[in-house]
Formats: sequence, structure tokens, C-alpha cells
Amino acid sequence: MTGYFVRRILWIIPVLWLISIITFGLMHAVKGGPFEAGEGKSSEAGRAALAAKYHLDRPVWVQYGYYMRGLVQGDLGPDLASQGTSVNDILKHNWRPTVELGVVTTLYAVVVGVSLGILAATRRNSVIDYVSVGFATIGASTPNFVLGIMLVLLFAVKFKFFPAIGWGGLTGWKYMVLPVVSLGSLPAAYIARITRASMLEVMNQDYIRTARAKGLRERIVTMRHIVRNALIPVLTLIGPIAAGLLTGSFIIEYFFSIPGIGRAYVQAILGRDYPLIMATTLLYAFVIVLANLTIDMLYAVVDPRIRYS
Amino acid sequence: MSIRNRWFLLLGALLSAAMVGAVACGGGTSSSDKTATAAAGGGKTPAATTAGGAPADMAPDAQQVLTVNAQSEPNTQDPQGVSYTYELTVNHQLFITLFDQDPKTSELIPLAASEVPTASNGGIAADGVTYTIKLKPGLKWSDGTPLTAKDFAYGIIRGYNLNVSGAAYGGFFTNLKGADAVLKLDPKSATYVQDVQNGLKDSVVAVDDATLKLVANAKSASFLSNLTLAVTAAVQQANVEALGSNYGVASSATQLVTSGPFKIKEWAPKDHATIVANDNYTAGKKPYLKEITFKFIEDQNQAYNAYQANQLDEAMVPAALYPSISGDASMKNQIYQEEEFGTRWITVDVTIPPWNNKDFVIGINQATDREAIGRDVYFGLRKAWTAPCPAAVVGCDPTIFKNLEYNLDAAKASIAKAFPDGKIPDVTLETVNDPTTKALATTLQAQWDKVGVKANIVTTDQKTLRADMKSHKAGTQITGWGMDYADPSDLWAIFTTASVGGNNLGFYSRTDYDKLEADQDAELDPAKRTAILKQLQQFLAADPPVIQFAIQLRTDVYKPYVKGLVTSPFDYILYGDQQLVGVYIAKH
Repeated sequence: MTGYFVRRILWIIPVLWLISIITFGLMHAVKGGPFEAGEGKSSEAGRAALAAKYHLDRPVWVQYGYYMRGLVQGDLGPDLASQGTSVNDILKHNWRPTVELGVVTTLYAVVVGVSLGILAATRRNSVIDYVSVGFATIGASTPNFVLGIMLVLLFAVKFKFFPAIGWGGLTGWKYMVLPVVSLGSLPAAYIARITRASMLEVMNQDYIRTARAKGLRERIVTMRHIVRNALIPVLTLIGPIAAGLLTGSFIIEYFFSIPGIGRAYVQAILGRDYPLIMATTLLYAFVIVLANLTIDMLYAVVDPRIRYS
Repeated sequence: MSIRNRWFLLLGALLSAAMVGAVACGGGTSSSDKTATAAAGGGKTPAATTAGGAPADMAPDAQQVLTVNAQSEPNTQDPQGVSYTYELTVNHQLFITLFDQDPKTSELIPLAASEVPTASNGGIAADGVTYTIKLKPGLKWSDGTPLTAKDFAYGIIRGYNLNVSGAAYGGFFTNLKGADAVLKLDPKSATYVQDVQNGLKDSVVAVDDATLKLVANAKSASFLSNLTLAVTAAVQQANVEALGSNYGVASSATQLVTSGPFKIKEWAPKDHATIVANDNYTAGKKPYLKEITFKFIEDQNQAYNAYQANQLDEAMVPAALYPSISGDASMKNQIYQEEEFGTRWITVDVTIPPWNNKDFVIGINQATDREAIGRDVYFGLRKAWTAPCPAAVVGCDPTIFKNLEYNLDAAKASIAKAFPDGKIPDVTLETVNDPTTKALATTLQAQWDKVGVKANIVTTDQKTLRADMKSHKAGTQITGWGMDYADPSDLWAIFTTASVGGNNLGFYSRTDYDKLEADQDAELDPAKRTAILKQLQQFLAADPPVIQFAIQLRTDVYKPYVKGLVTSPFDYILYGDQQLVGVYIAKH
């Protein structure tokens, strides 16, 4: 099995290379460039000078060659919007809010989702079940930016409980509440539904009936036998959810003005900042590939029947 | 108690705890939070001053902290590299130029210079092209070293290095002797920087520490106005060379040696920049504010939310919210509004049909109901305006453009003249994908439909639109011109052949117009210049390059404790950002 995972790790390189070619081609196929006529007060001569400085006057494949040469040396290229700043600098300065947001949101989604799922399953057809299912339905059907707007208007503008914008790091918990709830409610709802369904399925298994017949207390039956087995499918969901939250937070970062990579990504696309688009896309791709690999490894850990060769 | 009841109790307890916690945390969301006072008149009420000259109602120094929205993150703070308003708003606080503009009269006023050169004070030589500019005594950099004429010479020449200023104002100040040749040099050449210096060595000369000599390539009425532009600001050569390509960017911003009333304390990429008072500032009055934080929030609605949540002391008013804000008694006094020194128009590509037919362009101008646009699309934040020049520009005569005013009968006649066979081609309205611009496009579509012109709306992003304009595929672009300085040359040069492909994306190129534009700048006699400007405007009224529709009424809200604001049509992003030295936080 070790050989299998070594091969999977090595496969990351051609996968990223292919993604780099596709991304490079696509972004150059889109109209407009980083230095367009009519922007600011730039002159034709000025724009030509900058295009030459960054090799944008060369054929696309030559530009790709320049990019890859830098990439293999760890140089992600210059930020074309802010000349003098490198893309490495931007990622170095802005990774933390994205990772913090992703990790805290994943925790929120898991804790809230699993708790609601367990509650709903153990109190089937009760008010708690209806509330949990209601939350799951609303969470799954409300886009995160819509939820974000409602939360900001209510809790930041009206009641002034939380800030409307910004990020305070792991210690600035008040800045986290609204973006985390906005971003995490959909995955929390998804986890709640899966947990509930899985719990109900396990609860009907013979070994649960046996456990109860043995006279075990309900709490022990629930926690030791039902929850533990019901969470196996949920565990395998956490990987893609975490990867999705890490790489899919750009709308929430933009909406809450969080200085993360996601916001930089949006700005890079709008500004045709080619090196920054490339770097963020490759980084996101790497995170997703890594998450998928981790999930496959987790499968083997949680389910001994699975063996890779 | 049953298990079910215990769960309800637990849930209730958790909800109660959350509510208590949330209430306890309300009202203090960040260190910069402030609570607005409801004082009538707010920051607009003039205050008495103390014996020391400070306003009597000024809060202690520790509270002289202002948090505003720069709307976007500056790409740089290198004065030779700044271009956008969100960059200039900050840069204006950091670097000084030789001259500034009076916020009310728009006249040139000295900033680093001791006076504005004239023929009578000996500043302009008899040849009319040699300018001698004396600096104020005792000017200093933020590091305490003397700021001299050599620093200005270095800065002005550096502005012609297109590797530095290519995306900004490089190539803008073409009136300097030798500038045209320098701008044709190859920026990739190994000797480029030296070649630029050599090309301008006789036209930019530091005679001594306090005297700068500049030589124009011809007599030019707008020459001195160029010296209000950031691209002509002094920069400290040692600082530039020490920071190299990092000069002006976020990573080394705190090492930037500045000459203005503020210097950079911190620049957190994608989040904010904070500037603090420069104790070595001697060119003018020292600022009352000790610290200003510029947040980088692109979305106006988000910024306004943050203003309401007391995270910002200032925000631009989103157009759609203006009616409710201006109708709210508690908010009304927080509004600052002023006409910008610029105009809004739709650029049309006059090289492609049907826009290459001047009668059609006149007809579309006449079919455009500007009052309705201001009212329905911009909720009163645009003033209907038919002339392409703001009234305050020297020589601007809006009456010349009366033939372009909204008049459906005249529009139909003009379009019939353009297409006598009645076969009017469809036009494309390519616009960016934001709600206001799309609303403008649909309004124009409906208005033009009344005269039989079918407009197809295509939404895209700004970059694609510009690329399509440049390749003659778009045909129209909703844009305008914010004036850099009050001299009319800054405006009328846009429609010259020299600007084609740059700011002239309508490719308007008329030899007679080019001559009129050159003549008006070369004419130093005000009366004669006004006469030429009149001819120039008559030319544009008869053969319009754009569909002019509005002047923006720029509208901000400031918390009532922000006082001393002096607004100017030249303000960039914030109202009063040209004159922030007079702003202070009142006791509240």
C-alpha cells in the first residue's frame, strides 16, 4: 500500500503541470490584459514598456516557458498590479486568514452538523428533529453571500454585535463569527443530513438491538455503538469539505473584506494579474489533490476492508 | 425530568448564554470604533480656535485617529507610479509637489515652491519657456534631511522612466523640452535611465538647493499645472536606490521617506494602510490628525455597512441608498456632497458605423434624456449635463452644446438626416456587469428606442470592454474624465489624435481639432485663449466625440465628530482628501 501512495504523491506533479497549462492557456484566451488602454493615465509607450518588462509582448508559449522556469525555482513571479511586489510576498502575507477561516469553518461545520444530526436522529419526529432538519434545509438552500448579507445587516449594522468587515486572526473571535457562520452553514447542513441518515441506518442494525437487549444504558448504546459507526461516512466527508472551505472562501473573503488569498484571487482575475492567477490556481489545485489523497488514506484507516495495491 | 426536557433546558441555556455574550460584546468591535454623536450640523460647523490655533473643540491627541475607506488597495505609493484615485488619495498625504490647487478657486497655489512663477515676479523668463522656481526655505524629508531642488529634479526626470511610470502618468507631461524624444527611447535599453537623464539635463536643472529651472518645449498655458501632478513630486534618490524595485510597495512601505504631512506606519496587504503625522513636515501647516487608516474595501455597500457598524469614520454613499440616507434626519447632517471636477460620458468609436456618422452621434445625444438618467439610475447623484466640460473649467461654455440637449423631435430629424433611407443600424452597448451600469444601459436602450435606434446590451468585465474598444468591437464605453488639474488642456487634449488608443478610446481624430487644441495651450493671453476655446467647443458641438450625460455629485458620509473638512472638486476618493491637514476629531 505504501507503493500505491508514493505513486499517488508522484502523480501530483503531472496533474499540477497539466492544470498549469490549462490555466495559462485559458487566462490568455480571455480578452484584456494587465495593462489596458484607458486605465489610469497610462500612455501607449508606457504600456508597451511594461508589456516588454514582463515579457507580455512575447508569444504565449514563450511566456509560459518564462513562468515555468521561475516556478521550478520557487519564484511565482511578479505581481503585475503592484510592481515591485512578488506573488510569493502576497501568498506569504495573505495565507493565514484563508487557512484560519477554512479551519475554523470546518470545525464549525463539523461540530454543528454532527451535533444537529445526532440530535435529530435520537429525537426523531421531535421539535429538535424538525429544527435540525429545518436548519439543514435552509443552510443547504441559502447561498453563503445571501446569508452573509442578512447576518451583517442584522448583527453588525442593526445590533452592532459583530464587525461588518475585517479579520482579527484566531484571537479576534468577533471578526470570525459572521464569516464563519455564512461560509459554514451549508456544509454544516450537509453534515447534519448525512449524520442523521447514517445514525438512523445504524440505529436499525441488529447489533444495536442486541446491545439494548444486553441491558446497556441508552447513552452508552448511542455514543459507543451508534455514533461511532454512524460517523464513518461523515469522517470521509470532512476531507473534501475542508478542501472546499479552504479553496472556496473567496466570495466570503471578498464580502467581508478578509485579507486572504481568496480575495486576492478575485482581484487577480478582474485585473488579469496572470502570475497571481496562476499561483492561486495551482495552490488551490494542490490543496484539493492533497485532500483527495488524504481521504483515500483515511478510507483505508477507517475501513480495514479497503486495500490499495 | 425526562431526557427530552433536559435537552430543551440545555438548548435554552446555550441560547441565553449566546445572547448575553453577544449583547455584552456590542458596541466595541475594534480599537478604532467610535460612537457617532447626534449633534446637528456635525462636522460642518466651524469651530472657534484656541490661543495655539487648534480648534477649541478638538479631542486630545490620542483620539486624533481617522479611519476611512480608500475603496481599493493602492498598487504603489511611488509618486512616479501612482495613477488611480485610490492611490492618489494616500499619496497626496505622503509626497508634496511644487504646486497645489486652491480647493475653492482652482487656482495654482505654491506648495513646496515659495510662489507661483509669473513674468512679473521673474519666474517666467522673457522667452516664455524658461521657468525659475524657488523652494520654500527649510523643507525636510521625513527622515529629517533637507529636501532640495535636486530632489525635485530627480523626481521629475524619474517620471519619464516608463519602467517606473508606464502604467501611470509617464508620458503625461509632454510640455517639457526634450520630453517627446525621451518618451521614444527604448525602455529595454541597458543605458535607458542614463539616456532619459541626458535627454532632460538641459530642461530640468537644479540651479542650487533652493532653485529649480525648467524649460518648456514651447509656450504653454498648462505647463505649471503639470507640476501639481504626483509624477512630478520630489523623491529622495538615496531612498529610491536603497529600496530598488521595492520602492513604494507594501513590503517596504514603512521605509519610504516622505515629504508630505504624513508618513507610512503600516501597510497590511489587502487590508489597510496606516499613515501617521510626519513631524518633519515644514511645507505647510502640520496636520491635527495623528493617524489615518485607509481600509481597502472595494464594495460601496460593504463600506457603508462598516460605517454603520462604527468601523469607519467615512464612507461613500451607494447611489441606491442615497434617497433613504438623505431623507433620514439623523444621517442628513453627515452627508458631504460636491460636484466633481470632471464629466461622465459615453465614448463612441467614431471609426465604425453608425458612430462614424456625426449626425447620428448628434441624434443620439439629443435622444438621451439626462434628467431621467440622473433621477432614475443614479437616484439624484448625477446632475444632467450636456457639455463635455465642467462649468468651472476655464473657457467652458455649456451654452455652445445646447444643440445636443434632449429633444426627441430634433433627435429624430438628426437620425433621419444620418440615415435618409430609414435603415438605422443596431448599436451595441457593451457595459460592465454592475447593477448601476446595467441600469444605465437599459435606460439608454429604452430612450434610444424612442427614436428608432435599437441598442443591444452586452455585459462583460472592464478588461474585456477595454480590449473590445481598442479592437473596434465594442463601439461604446460608459466612461468620462476626472480632471487632473483645472487647466482646460487636461480635458480637451483627450480628443486629440495624440491621445488615440490611450484615453481617447473613441479614436476621435480631427486635424482641425488638433490644431485648435494646440493653439489654445500655446496662447498665454487669457482673452485670446478663451476665443480659441470657444471655437474648439463649437467644433465638438458640431461633431461630437461622445454622448455627454452627467456630472457626478460625489457624496460621502462622515461621522459628526470629524470636523475641519474642506471639500474640493479635485478630491480623489474622500471628500476633503486634498486638504486633510485641517481635519480633526472633535470631542465626543
